[in-house]
Amino acid sequence: MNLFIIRTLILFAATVIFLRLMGKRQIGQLQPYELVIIIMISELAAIPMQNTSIPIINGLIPIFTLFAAHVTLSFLSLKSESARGIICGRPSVLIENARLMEKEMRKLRYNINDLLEQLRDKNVSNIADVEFAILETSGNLSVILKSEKRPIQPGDLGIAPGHESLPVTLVTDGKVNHKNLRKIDQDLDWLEKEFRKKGTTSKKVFYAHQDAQGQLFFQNKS
Amino acid sequence: MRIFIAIIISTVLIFSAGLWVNDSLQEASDHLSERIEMVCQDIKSNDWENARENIKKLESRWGDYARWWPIIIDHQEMDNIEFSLARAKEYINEEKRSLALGQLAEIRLMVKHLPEKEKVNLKNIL
Repeated sequence: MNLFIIRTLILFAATVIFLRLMGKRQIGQLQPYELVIIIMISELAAIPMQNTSIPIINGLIPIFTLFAAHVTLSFLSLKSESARGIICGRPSVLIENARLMEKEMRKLRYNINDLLEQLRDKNVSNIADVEFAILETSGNLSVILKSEKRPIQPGDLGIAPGHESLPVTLVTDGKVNHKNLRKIDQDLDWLEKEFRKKGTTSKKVFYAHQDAQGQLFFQNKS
Repeated sequence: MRIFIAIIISTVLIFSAGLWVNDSLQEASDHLSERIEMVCQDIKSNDWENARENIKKLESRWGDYARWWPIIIDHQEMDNIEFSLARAKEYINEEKRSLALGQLAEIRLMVKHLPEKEKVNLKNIL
């Protein structure tokens, strides 16, 4: 029984490490070869987990091999345009200037209902509004609306909004993030002083951040 | 690029380890087969005392290999050899000539099969 626990933990750790090293893409953004690798890895890890007769190395070596293949293919598709076309495929234009590309859709076996569904998913109900609809290699549909139909941007109105950056987290659950404090050129004394002004201390704070305008936001623990 | 170098080094290491394992398995299998042959000869010449001595040596040698083989070989196959070895030992102790020879032939085949299964050849790949 304990053997199963140890083997499971080893295989789980190895799978997580290799998947972590492979990158941060989500399932919906995977390239076809990446999806194949993920499915195969999960199967390879599961078999030696259930069957203790199979040496654990018989699961680990194929997982490593798939990881090596993945890194090599990613590297090739990064460096060579033609390799990328072969490995990942090429994006396909399904709508061009509000015209459905029937030939391309037939080639991809992509029916009109699928296309309309994906367009609705992108809040587009009228094909006539679409300048381009491109089916990406990951299977996602990118929709570019006609210029007169896209939402107004500040630039269209001649407005130049000020620079916005992300709020910097300073305290989480009473623990001060010293790295982020240094990032905003402040120190612990400054933070404690700010908290004292508001009648609290960093230990009592559940969450605190400094926004782009330099305002300190915090909430005490309940 | 660092990950690439790590992958190349790991692949070379795994590949070399694979070659070394295949070589060691072949060597061990040959050695065990030789021992089995000696026991068979003893039985054929009705030298049961020597047969008992040699099967003990075979068992002890098998014990040495059995320590690291499970890392690479299906544990079920190892168990099968161990069960057969125990049966062969008992037949020799009871001086059952045909049963002992039959059991030893089975062990020889199983031992020869182990490196065969790990070899890189078209039959195994397909």
